[in-house]
Amino acid sequence: MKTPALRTMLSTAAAASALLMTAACGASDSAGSTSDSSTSAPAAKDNGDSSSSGTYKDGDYEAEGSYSNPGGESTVKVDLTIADNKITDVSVTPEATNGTSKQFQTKFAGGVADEVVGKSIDDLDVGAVAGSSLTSKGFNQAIEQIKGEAQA
Amino acid sequence: MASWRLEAIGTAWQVDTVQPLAADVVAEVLDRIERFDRSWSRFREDSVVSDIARGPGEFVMPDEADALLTFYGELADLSDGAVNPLVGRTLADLGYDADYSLVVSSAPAAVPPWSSVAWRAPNLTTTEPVLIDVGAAGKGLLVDLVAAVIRRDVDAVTVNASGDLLHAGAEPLRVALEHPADPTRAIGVALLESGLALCASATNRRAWGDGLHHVLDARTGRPTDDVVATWVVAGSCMLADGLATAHFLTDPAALVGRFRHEFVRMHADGRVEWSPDFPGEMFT
Repeated sequence: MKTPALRTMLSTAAAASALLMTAACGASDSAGSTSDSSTSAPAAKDNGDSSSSGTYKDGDYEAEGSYSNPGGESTVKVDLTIADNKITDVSVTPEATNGTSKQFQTKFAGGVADEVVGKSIDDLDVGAVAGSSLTSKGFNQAIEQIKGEAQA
Repeated sequence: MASWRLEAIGTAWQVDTVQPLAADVVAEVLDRIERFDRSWSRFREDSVVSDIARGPGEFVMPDEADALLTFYGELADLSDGAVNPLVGRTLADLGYDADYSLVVSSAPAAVPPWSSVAWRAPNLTTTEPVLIDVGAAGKGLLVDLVAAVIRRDVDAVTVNASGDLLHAGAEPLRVALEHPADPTRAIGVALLESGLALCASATNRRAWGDGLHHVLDARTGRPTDDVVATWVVAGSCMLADGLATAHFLTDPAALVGRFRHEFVRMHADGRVEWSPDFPGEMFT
């Protein structure tokens, strides 16, 4: 079940979701750049034809979304690389700035750790993995959105 | 071991049992899911929830509403209104609608307070059209209901609905807590004893992607980004699911003081905190 291919898909969806949030929430700080195109933050909706086959410009894409929440402003940064019509690299970087994300009420916690990197799931003997859920429908939507952004 | 994989309420499910389930049990499970969907889905026109969204009135809710809406009411109180099943309209306006338009409306609706409706089981009385979204705890409740159907027939079963997991069996189940930014890694392992449920929730991967829930702060009508992932172990999957959402939006003290559960939560800056008796191990 935990094949490398699936993981790639999951990672890709992660970036797509964050990109969608950028689009859908009208982020105040959206910015995009690519090495060879002027594509910026994803459009809220593509032309409705994003499922058609096509080519996407190679390049590094980047988008940021910032939101206000009760704890202050938070930002998620997404980088992804497209080469030969494939997403070859993706990363999602949450960037907390202030507010409750910097606070911690120790008296109710068993522990606290900074920037947990964790262990490779392959090295663990587990019967299940608990992460965020993902739907085929949602996944497909997310991929379409990336296509929409990257359509050359 | 036998694994039954199915798609239900917009997400992937897996039911593990020692022997394959009998055909009549499978049929009963599918019927239970269908009845739940017909009541609660805001993505289908013929649901009770869609009926409620069309106009005010008094609506007779299904049996499971007693547990679900009462629980929501408590979460709304504890979270100072941040958790609220009336976020549906706002979610839809933000693009998470029945057509998955992903187009944000120019003026997303404010979320009406939960106190603006009257809930006295089995009747829900509304004074305006409201769109209910039970994404925070509904899937967990359905896991409980499905597991109850199966456990009338067999003792050992693990129901895993993509992040909502209920386990019953002789051996505890070891569950990796997937790193929200890297699905190849785990930040820890939970040891799930028989009869307990574990729910995981993360915002970064399911925005507009999950058929059930996206974490909005009902007070602001905006997505929350301070906490990026939560895991909760509790005595029922509904509790674990709802509390996993509540931990994005609420002081843990308020939740720990009211509901017996253990939690882990990860902040946007990578910090992780967990409750004293969380069953398992954190990789710090």
